[in-house]
Amino acid sequence: MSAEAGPGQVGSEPTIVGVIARHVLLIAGSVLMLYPLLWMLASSFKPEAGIFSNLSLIPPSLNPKNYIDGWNALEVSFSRFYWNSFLIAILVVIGNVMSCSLTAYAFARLRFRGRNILFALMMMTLMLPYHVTLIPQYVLFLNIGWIDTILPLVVPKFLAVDAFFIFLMVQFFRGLPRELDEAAKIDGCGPWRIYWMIILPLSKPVLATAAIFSFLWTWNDFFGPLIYLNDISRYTVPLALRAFVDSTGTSAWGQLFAMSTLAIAPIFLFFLLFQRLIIRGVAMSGLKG
Amino acid sequence: MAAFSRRQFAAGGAAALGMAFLGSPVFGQSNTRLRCFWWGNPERDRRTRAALDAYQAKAPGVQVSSESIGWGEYWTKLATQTAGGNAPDLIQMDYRYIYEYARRNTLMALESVMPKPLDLSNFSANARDCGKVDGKLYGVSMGSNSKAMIYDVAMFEKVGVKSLDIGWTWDDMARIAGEISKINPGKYWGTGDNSRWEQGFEHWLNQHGKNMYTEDGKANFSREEVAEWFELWDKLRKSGACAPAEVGAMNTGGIDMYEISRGQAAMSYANSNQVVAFQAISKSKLGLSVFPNTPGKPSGHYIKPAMLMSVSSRSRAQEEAAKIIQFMMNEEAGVRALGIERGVPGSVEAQKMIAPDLDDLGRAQVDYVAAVTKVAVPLPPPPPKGAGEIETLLRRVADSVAFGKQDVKAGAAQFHTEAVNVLARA
Amino acid sequence: MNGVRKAQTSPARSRFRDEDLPGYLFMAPWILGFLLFTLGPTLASLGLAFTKFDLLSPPQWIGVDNFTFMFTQDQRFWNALRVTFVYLLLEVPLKLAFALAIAMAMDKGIRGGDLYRALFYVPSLLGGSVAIAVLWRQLFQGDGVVNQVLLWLFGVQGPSWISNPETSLYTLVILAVWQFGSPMIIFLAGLRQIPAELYEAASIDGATRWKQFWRITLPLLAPVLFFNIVFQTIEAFKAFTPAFIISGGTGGPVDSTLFYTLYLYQEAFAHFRMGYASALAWVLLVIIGVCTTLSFLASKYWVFYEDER
Repeated sequence: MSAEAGPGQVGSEPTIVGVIARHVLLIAGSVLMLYPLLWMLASSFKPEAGIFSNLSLIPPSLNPKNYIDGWNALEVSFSRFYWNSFLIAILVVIGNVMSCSLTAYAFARLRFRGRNILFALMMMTLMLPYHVTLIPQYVLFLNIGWIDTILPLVVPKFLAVDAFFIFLMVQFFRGLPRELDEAAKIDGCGPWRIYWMIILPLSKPVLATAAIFSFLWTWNDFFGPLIYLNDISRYTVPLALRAFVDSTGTSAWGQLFAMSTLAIAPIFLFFLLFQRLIIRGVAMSGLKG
Repeated sequence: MAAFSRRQFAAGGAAALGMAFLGSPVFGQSNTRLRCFWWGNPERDRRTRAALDAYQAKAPGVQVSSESIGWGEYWTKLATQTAGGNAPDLIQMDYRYIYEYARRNTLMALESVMPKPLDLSNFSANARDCGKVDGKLYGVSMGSNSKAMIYDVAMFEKVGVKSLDIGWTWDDMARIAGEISKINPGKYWGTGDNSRWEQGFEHWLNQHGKNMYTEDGKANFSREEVAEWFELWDKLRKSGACAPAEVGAMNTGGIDMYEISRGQAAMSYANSNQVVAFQAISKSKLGLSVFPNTPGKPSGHYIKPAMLMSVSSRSRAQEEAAKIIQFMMNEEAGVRALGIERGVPGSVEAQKMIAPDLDDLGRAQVDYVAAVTKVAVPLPPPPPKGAGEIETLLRRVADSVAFGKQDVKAGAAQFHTEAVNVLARA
Repeated sequence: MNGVRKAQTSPARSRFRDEDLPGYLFMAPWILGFLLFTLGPTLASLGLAFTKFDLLSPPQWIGVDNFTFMFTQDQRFWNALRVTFVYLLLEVPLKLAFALAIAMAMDKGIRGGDLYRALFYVPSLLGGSVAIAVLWRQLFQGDGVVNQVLLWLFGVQGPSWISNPETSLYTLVILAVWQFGSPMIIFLAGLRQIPAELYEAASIDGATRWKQFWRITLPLLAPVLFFNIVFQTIEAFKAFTPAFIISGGTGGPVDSTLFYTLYLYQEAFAHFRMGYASALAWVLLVIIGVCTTLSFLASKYWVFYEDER
């Protein structure tokens, strides 16, 4: 751990008191940060009555009743919503990684006329609030009959609309030694082979980062599914959660917290598995947060 | 302009192509597929799906997919789907919106499917005609309701009120609410805040012999009347009878957000059919009553269709859609599945079919609508376009008065000015 | 950027031509996506901004009426701008201050640094998720956890934070500040690139910690700080989901949480004024553009990159 921490301030020898003070601060801080989440987790096991008056983080028992009831509280069970969310997220991951890496490769390595203008345009789309394109996009998808399918949520990702990932990859590709492609070029490799055989294998960290964040953002996305999906059997987990709030509201907080916990569980799992990549990805460039 | 009409043309073409593709017999058996869309609550969703399942069981080859969503988002989704030529086949309509949709030719005139398969001969004239726009029928009333005050029976009994007289007054209300507020001070109040509900204000105007909007869709109330309305509630709040601003502001319109559902007040104001949904999520026993009266004035209540069922003018299965409406309105299985969650059925036969299924509250609802019918004022013209926005406007301005951000007079002036603006812009 | 290298390895202009075709092929998905989903819709919404369009009937050209109304008569527009700017001016500095403070406490090779970093980052993972908005609504309501804690610690009965127009916006600020993980990690990465020798030299010269912070840490961190400011500002302008869920889509109470984006959504999808909403979107775009340009101009005076030294 400390190995990764880099150069410390050797000059100002930290005192024992200073170190303890810092630990106390950090521990108190983390508890404060995590308390709401832990409270939600604990509440998801508590019986309805007394959820609010109970600040304890220790559930009285590990009774999964709220989970079982909540899982089947809507017309369609949460298994379906999980599957929908998962399917969309996986397709988005594939789409983003494929299309953004192609584009980024062209920006970073190929010289073609108009590249700088296109790059500037791409950077401008980073700033574009999605509200600007929302209404015409909706009309477009309506016209081609894609409403109430997952296509509006997925197909654009295969056309590299997430400029952020392109930007991230361009930065990374530019950092790769150009001598490698020059050597490959001399060996007679075309751009496709250089992309496929050299750049991609060397870019696993950035590709993984793009994949992970694509997954996380898609999993959390509420607005897109809200607009484009109608039939409850096509709902994603966040939409289902919203429907759950609408339908049971204040009468079933325990179940609501159970389902909320489950809604964010995959994200935690992801974080546990890919913590290093996620943190490195954020460090590489400022991500949403 | 030209570009857009071309686009719409293209949209129509694409939609037609898509429909043609969907409609073609893929597996050798031709299935009729329909979509049914309503705003709802869990109780309504459960009942409607049961009715649709029953229909599909008796009509093989027909598939009805159902979509349900909260009131606010419903109109958003319906508008966007309609605009794209992708409207559902069966559309739950509200009295508030039926003129707008019918006059834009997005709904089907039902005369062509009557009396077969759709037979409304058992309906009372009022129940049948309330779905008419410009002389043609665009929606079938799924049940009648009236506004109703929904109250916690046990709390009323605690302060010695066993039942409410249909002539009870605002003063009675202030007194009862004041007493209830004393039971658990600072936590539970007699009445929820109704100054912020557009239909509450409308009712109060009706009580004073006026409609809220004129026939041609203008505001039919004065600044002074708004001020009087705000004043009425301001007094109730200040006396402690009515829940304070903070509590009132939590009510964003979903049934679960009302003071009575949140366990913060003994009275909330809604529609009579909604009592079914309120009771479904409430732990205490609920009752329903008319809104308080102003002595010597009309009741202010009117009977209206709680909601209507319409068929899209673009539906490719209009005949089948009509059959489904017929099933829901006239056939025992359908009628009983729906019950009176959408109000008291318009057909006398249907009322008989559901009678054995009714619980106390169900019977109370039927009796309530019958009792109100006797004192009802005439049905006002449907609210103009933009009325939906006035609903949120009133909520906002009433809240700012309740929170003391401006006084009653300033609030009344603001509401009046902005309401006139909204109607002019709509 | 690669100008020097370009001159060395590709003297001939013909090379440029050689890569035209592969360049466009590789770019094809992006170009198609850009035209279909970005440029086209952007231009269409610019056109719509000058129309009255309610989705159900075709758009009507009304010239600059939308903009005139917006600037001269629309109180909610000005209020939405005010709310957005108050939110932004509170949220961005607070978030960055927390991020920097925690990053500095965690720097300097403290034991368990990775664990702390992960713990502090966890809330940021959840972003604008519905689950968190639901939780927040519960935490800050009248009988919610926050008030229970206040009662337990100080014996004070707090108000219903989310339904009081004086406090509701601050609950959203707290929600945003709570998710300071991303800038924290970026600061941490930045801090680790500051050579330890600089601090050593400074402390030999007798500079206090405080002085070291102002003289060494902050100037060297300026590019990272600048990046964080720009990104967090843009994100703050775009904030939507928490306000939407917590206020039930109303921006209430009394429009106190009516973010600009929420107002835009309401105008478009609740009041069906697509033309007006498009005009709002374009005004937002201009505002973000102006803010970003200004911060880039201002950055010339306080951000110095290493290669400029």
